[in-house]
Amino acid sequence: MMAKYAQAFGLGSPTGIDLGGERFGLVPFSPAQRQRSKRSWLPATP
Amino acid sequence: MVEERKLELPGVIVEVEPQRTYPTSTFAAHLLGYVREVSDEQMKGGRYRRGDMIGQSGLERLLDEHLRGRDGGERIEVDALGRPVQIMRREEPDPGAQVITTIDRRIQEAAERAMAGKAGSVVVMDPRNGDVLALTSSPAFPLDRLTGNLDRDEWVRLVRDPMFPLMNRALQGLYPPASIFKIIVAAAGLQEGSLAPMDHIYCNGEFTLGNWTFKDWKPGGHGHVDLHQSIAQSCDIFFYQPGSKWAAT
Repeated sequence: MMAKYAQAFGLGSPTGIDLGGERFGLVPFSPAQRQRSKRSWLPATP
Repeated sequence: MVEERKLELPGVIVEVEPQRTYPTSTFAAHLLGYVREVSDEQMKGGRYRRGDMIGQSGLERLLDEHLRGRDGGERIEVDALGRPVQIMRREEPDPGAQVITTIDRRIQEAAERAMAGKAGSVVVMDPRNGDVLALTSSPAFPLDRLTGNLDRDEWVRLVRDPMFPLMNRALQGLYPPASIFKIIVAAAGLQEGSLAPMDHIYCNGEFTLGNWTFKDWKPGGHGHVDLHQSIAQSCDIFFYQPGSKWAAT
């Protein structure tokens, strides 16, 4: 649910800025996807 | 002076080279980018001549084709002593186009000042049209050094710097969205009907989920807050509630 809205707002998508070299983020859609990620995920930032 | 006394100074030639001047060594360094001599790898494309100075990062690279212009040239008839007699053919150099950005220098400078000594990025945009008014990445690198005669040691220092000054954090750094995400939680809640503008909570500064206790940024909490107040004061606890409710579904 939250991932759907995060994506609708453009989180995780490239901005398309033409300077190049852009990296884009990851919005975890499911616990499985979260586990596949190499880094550990915090439950939340304090 | 040197040119005038050419006959007395054999072996001395005058060369004209383009120069770049920067307001300060690091101002908008990642955005502007640096210029260096074309590398062997870049020569392979066949678009450059050896010794060409080309944009290697930032706007200098993006707009290199427009900025570079074209070399001019002269074919000159000289006498036995090498002094020019007449110009046979002349090709005017093209200085290249000008680039005007949407960057507001005062905002860019303020953002860079605010980030001095810290690692991170500031991007300021005009919400009406998406114009980028400032784009910083800190720490920055010295543009004038990179564009000029950079010795090998200095280059190695820059590349190995644990703070990665060459990385453009605005485009290449990955950061959690932090409080911006509250807007997304609010939009999702309103759209899905599980949150109404007048919904309110009592925020005591803590929220517990299972074994985890999350603390609000404000010790002691915000007290009674509705949606509007929660966004205005950036109350964390308010948004943990609907956020955690949906996470389970």
